[in-house]
Amino acid sequence: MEGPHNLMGWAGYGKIPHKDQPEGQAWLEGWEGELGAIFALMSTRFGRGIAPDQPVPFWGLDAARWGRERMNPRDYMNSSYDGLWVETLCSLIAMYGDRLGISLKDLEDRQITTAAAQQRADAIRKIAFTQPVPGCGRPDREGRYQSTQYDPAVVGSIDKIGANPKFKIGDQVRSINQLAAGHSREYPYFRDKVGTVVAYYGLAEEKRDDQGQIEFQGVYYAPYPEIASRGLQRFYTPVYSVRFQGQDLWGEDFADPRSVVYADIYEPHLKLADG
Amino acid sequence: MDPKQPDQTSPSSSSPPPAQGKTRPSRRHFLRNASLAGLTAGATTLVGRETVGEPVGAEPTTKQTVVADDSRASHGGAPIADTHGPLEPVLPPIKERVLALKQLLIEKNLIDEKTIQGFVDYYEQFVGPHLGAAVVAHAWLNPDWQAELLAPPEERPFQAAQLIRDFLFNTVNPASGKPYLVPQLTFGLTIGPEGEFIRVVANGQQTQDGSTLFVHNLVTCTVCSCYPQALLGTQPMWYKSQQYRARSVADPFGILLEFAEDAHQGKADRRAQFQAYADKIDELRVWDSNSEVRFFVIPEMPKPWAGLSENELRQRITRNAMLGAEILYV
Repeated sequence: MEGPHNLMGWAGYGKIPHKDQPEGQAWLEGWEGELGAIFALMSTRFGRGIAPDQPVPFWGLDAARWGRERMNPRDYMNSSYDGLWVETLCSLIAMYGDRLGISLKDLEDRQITTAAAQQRADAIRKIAFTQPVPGCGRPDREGRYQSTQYDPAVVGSIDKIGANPKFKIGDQVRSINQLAAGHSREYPYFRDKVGTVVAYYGLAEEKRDDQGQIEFQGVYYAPYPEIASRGLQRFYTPVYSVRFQGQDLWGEDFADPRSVVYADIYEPHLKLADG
Repeated sequence: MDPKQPDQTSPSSSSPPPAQGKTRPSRRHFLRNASLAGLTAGATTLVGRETVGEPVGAEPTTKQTVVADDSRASHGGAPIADTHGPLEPVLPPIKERVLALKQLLIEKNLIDEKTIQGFVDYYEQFVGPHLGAAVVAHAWLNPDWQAELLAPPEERPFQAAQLIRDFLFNTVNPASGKPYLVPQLTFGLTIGPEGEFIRVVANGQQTQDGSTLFVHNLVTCTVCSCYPQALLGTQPMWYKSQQYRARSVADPFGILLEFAEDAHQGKADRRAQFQAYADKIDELRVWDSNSEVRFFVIPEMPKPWAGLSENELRQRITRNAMLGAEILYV
């Protein structure tokens, strides 16, 4: 969705703070580590499913990113980095509170978040569930999307999706335009721009041995964030590394001609430039 | 947090609201205190329009008025406010909210202190830029290995993670006398958190389409703070800052210059070193980490370091250089 999280080149923030943070200092304050731990532990809990018969909803980094995007823009701009994480955690806890045994009132009573903030986040979420997602159409009444290309249940497997990328290295591609209330990894600064595919990351199912150790295939396996951020389904799309000239993104007069930007782009966000 | 002091993390009706700093006789301050007092007492109605909307000394009026929510504004109003319902209360400082959240989740048996501490220990004591530095020093002295990191086969674009795993598992850290990485510290992953889809890039001369270019790479994550944690530990605050995230993609030369100016600290020869390096750059590549892929930079080795041992080199490689924000100074 649009908002102040898409910082994309904005001037006006001033000098970069804390450039002298020592290498051995993990956090500016110790409780920041505890905040990271809380998110990691709660994600793990959700990743395993809250109950054996409830593999979904889940949350992950995609849901966490959308969580902070749904903050009041005023609050986002005024938040410290950790403040963004707290609001994100609160929105996820409030959303799935019935399964965790936590109510919004619990969070309010302890002054962790406000009802207004959560109602706002929830309202945006509802709008997003009326909208299409690139490559996946519009949702049904339960908020579930359909895709003959990117739903592994329909295609047959994640590996099959990965075996059929639409684009190849060297292709000139144009990114699509969009305006969505949901989370998107197609950031505004590289929408509707022409770039070159320089790498395809492959795609295969994550494999683990019986000890839970990953058996890494050397290719990508993370889900399509637009769908995963909603917490109901996991779709997978090919992901490409796309190279843009700085001047194509920021204007001939404004970007140094030596600058280039590489963005990783999900297949539904791309079309052949001359197509 | 010290578990013996749970009362600090759990605001309740018996404990006073958190300290609010210096008293200022402003309406904003009144709102803030009214909100906190109201919530603390469980009487949220105190934070209503009727209570705070009455201007002191005004003519009595029966007319309903609308009050601007300037509770969080420092420039005369917050137009982007939730104007429906009662005014939004202002929350305590972020640290108190974090500790209160932790306490709540512990009480609900969703997380526990021991596992939290394990997470914190991993980032504070185990993982960090020393791992990335070991990789860079090894790559400098083993060009074939570096080439494998930089140019993976098309069918295994992220083979670097496996190569790095083999190296870290089988190399003793001279500082500890133990291998850099052991299986228990990968959490079931290849090398650790955000260490699967590693794409290694190198600064320096390289050939591209038949021509030779001097390339510099800068890593960023414009929308959040994605970072190769398994090799560098936690993100430094500058990497997570809105300032860096905003400017890195559009003004990478400005970023390099700002880091260089801070690094000079009156050392004139550093200024000259940076200028000589910056003058060589033919192409500055910015990598925006907007998928789960994480980027890792092998900096250019300063010429005077030729002949140093892998261990001597390792100690000279900085975190900021492995992100491309800074060059390595002699």
